[in-house]
Amino acid sequence: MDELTERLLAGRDGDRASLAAWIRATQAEVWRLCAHLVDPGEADDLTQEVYLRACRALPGFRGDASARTWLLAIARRTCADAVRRRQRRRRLARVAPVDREAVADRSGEVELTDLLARLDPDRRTPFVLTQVLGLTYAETAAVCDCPVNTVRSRIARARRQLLQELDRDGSSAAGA
Amino acid sequence: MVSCDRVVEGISAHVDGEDPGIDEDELAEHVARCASCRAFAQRAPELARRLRLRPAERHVVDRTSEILAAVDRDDRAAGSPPRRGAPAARWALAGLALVQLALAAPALVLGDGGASVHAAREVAAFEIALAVGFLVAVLRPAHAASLLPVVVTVAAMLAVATVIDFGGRLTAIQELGHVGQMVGVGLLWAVARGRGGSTRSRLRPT
Repeated sequence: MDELTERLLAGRDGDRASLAAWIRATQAEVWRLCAHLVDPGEADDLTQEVYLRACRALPGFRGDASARTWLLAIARRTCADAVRRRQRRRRLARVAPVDREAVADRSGEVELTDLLARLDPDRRTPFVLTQVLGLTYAETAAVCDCPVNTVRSRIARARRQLLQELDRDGSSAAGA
Repeated sequence: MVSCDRVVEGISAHVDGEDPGIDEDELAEHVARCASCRAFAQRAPELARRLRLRPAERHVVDRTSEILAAVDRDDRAAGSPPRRGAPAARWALAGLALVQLALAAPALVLGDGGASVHAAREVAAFEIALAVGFLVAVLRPAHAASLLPVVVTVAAMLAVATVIDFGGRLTAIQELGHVGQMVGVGLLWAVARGRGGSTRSRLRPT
């Protein structure tokens, strides 16, 4: 059993220091996932919500899955709920379209983040889990609760879409 | 003949150091023939590299203490007083279950009592099942709540059946047995309550 899982099990059984150590060790990954799957501006709140949900579900944690994939699966569901909430709000409010000029001003680094945001959630989730957090396909499959084959094909489609988007942005920039 | 989709998947998985899910020779042969798959194979690694370089640069602020404080608030908001799995109820239930086993076991073997031998054995079997249920709750308090419906039903039915069949002619042992079962149901309920919603109270310093 890995160290994170041992800490979480100790935390579950009332060891507060272990629980704090576990949160400290895992929060950056959770934050990044929330930032990519929803929005960096909401990532602080979402990270907190992920841990609230995790602590509520903690007595049911038996250490069958690794603490990392267990937590990331909760984070994935929390983000999916947040995206649904946003879509509801948007339908109601008819938010103004994204300010394309502001986006164009940013550096190339930010551009990729912006491109990731354009992937649809089905593809974005496994792509971020593997490319940004560095999970294996098997771990990603556990987090997404789907077969490894599905992970493989979604990541491939995400890659193809990203390359196309890069081409499109590149050609429109050249034409401007 | 493999499709471009399968080949792109294979290349993509290869970039990630994963099983491509397709024969490597077939993949190489297709890439040699297909310009669009070849272009994908050339550009995919660069894209992966650019993405992998980024996250390390971003420093995520440590918010552990805020998160823990939020967990504590959530705990209080849930309004659950600290529960420790009701240890007294568990001990009592363990003792009671053993007494029940001792009372029911002879009936199972000898088939004594006022009913036919077979019926008496069946009743004893139910009583033993009840006692085993109590013991399971003692050892696995998390399961206590899910045992409740069955245990309540069996205990109540046994008691009702006994009263109907024997009326006022209950033997001391029978009476003791059913009173014990009812007490057991109460204790099981206490154990289940003690566990219910204990989620966050376990996070508290002791």
